[in-house]
Amino acid sequence: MIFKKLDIKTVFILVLSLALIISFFVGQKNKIDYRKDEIKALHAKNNELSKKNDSLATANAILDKKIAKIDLLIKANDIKISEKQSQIETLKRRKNEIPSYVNVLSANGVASSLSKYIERTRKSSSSN
Amino acid sequence: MPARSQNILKEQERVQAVINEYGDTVIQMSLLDAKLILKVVLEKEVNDSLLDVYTVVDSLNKNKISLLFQKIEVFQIEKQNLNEMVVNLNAIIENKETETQILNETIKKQKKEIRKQKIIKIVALVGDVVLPVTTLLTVMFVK
Repeated sequence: MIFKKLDIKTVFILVLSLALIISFFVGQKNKIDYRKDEIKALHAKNNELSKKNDSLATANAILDKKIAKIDLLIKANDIKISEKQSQIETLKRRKNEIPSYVNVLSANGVASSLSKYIERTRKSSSSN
Repeated sequence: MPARSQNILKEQERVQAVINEYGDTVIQMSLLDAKLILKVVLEKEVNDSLLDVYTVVDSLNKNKISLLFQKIEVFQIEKQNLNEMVVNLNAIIENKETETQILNETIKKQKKEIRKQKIIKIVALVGDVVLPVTTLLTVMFVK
């Protein structure tokens, strides 16, 4: 009965109003979840990890300096060792030369060498 | 030759002790034996020096070994730190991948939404044109 009284204009107005209301509700539903909180948490985690890595890199830089110091000490030690090695070589050469040196000595030479040796030994024993 | 000599040792002994004219006891031996003793003595002297140097070299080598151990320890700590850094970097990569995945999902949703909005826009545009025209025509024809 009510619908028969309505003219076509009113029907169209009602249809349009209805469409407007429906579109309003449908439009409200279409919200995208950007998961901002999750991304924020991931960023925070990454920042924390980056900070940890930075501190580890700093620690490694300090350790590198320590290694460089140790290397310097090793280098100095090696120089001393090579000096001592050349000293050893010289002494070995001297030791090898002793028989030929003694063989050519005259009686006076032998006596003089023994005297010198005794002098050296006495000096070193008195200094000790 | 000593004026007053006294053989303390037997005749066949290679080394003899004699007392010279001043009363000093003198040890005498052949030149060859003296050379032999000199050789031994000089070699002993050099050996003593060699022993001293070898002792120093030994202590230097020990020092070097302890320094190398220190270096190894430092390297081990550094390695641990680097391993930790690798683990952290892998975690960062994983997080970035998760973030990219989330963003890709959001982009997909946005694309869907944009398509939806476009359709709605077209429908609205068509409705805006068609409905008023239809209404106008209907009103005109009904009258």
